[in-house]
Amino acid sequence: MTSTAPRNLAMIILVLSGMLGLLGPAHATGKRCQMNAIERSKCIIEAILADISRTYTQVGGGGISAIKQNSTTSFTVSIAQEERTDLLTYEATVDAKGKVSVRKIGEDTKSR
Amino acid sequence: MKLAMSLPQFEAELNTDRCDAYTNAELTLTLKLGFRQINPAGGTAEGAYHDYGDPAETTRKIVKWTTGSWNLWKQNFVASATRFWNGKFWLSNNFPLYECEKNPLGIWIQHNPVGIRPWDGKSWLPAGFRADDSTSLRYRPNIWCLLKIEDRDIKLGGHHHVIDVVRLHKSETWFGSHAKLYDSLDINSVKKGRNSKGKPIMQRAHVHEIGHLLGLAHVDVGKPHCPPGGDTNASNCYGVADVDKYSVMGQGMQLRLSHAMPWRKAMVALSGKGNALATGDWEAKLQKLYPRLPAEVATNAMLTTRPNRK
Ligand SMILES: [Zn+2]
Repeated sequence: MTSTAPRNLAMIILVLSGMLGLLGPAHATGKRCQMNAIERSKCIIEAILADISRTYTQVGGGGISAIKQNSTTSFTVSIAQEERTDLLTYEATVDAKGKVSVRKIGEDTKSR
Repeated sequence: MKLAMSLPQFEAELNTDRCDAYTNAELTLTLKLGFRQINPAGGTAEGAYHDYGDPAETTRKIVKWTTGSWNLWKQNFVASATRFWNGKFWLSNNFPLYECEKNPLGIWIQHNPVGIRPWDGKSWLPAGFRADDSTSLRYRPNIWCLLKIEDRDIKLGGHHHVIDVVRLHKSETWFGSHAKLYDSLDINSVKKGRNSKGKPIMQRAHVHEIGHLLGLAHVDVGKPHCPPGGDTNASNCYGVADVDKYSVMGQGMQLRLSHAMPWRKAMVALSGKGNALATGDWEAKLQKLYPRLPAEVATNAMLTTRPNRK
């Protein structure tokens, strides 16, 4: 039993940090990302998608129809819906250790 | 008496021909819709079509309509949208209009703008008959709100709205529709969103679209998170609080009293009385309101259970 205790503790910390993420505007993946451009953008997109899974509730549409890079650290995700496309814009920060945090900086709509 | 008017969005007709202790006037809004098939290009059996009809958007697999599938889809559309909207609201008549009375001889007569006319059991006879008001039972009918959706042949013209429809391939589960472009799945119940507890909220897209065709806006338009001057299709406009998400003009299937607005506006236009923005004028209820006697009108009683009338 003792051998599983540290793992349980780690899980509790992970869950707690997830709950804190719900409250704060920034969502850290806690992941260390490789610093080449492909890996870094992949990390940012994964963090953005994780935030969308947690916060975007209108799940009935056609799904993600585009992910566009606006700048090195900013992406806009398009989600197809009846009558409209939702456009969610995120800004990411990547610290020196490669840890990624993302923050939603805009919600826009393209009406149809 | 039948009073009718044509509006750009629909036609409105008020029928006061039947009036008695239990029968209200009927207000029918008629939407004349023209449906047009969208088929794969070049006459092929299968093809593709872009979401929203926008070439920059994702394509979905479509198949050619057959006569049978087309007629069945239109019938289902009209029948289920009509079932949802027709006969759901009653408007309380707070004006001395369309009243009828049963005089001491047991003859029904009706008061209306062209005078007082007796009822012979089939129709209202010419004016000239006068009842003894002191002993008559005078009933004020309320207004029952009806909707008629007419599938009008596209060749005839004269439609309020023309709607293009794609038939999705069986492998597809979704297509980007809008008010003038539908897909064959839009009459099905689909998971539109989820509530604060993560439970799914279901909607049949076409009943929501009919709401728009009647002039209704999204549930949260006018709230700070969905200002009327902004894009009222923004996701917040479909409801933020659970109760608003459940509205048919949000993400769900529930009717609200505010959805009686098209009928209330039509009553103001047809009668020349009241203001649709004044809540006490032609006030809407989701239950049958029985015709009222003067004393009941005086206390603004809303008779939702069948009264015992002589
Ligand atoms: Zn809508």
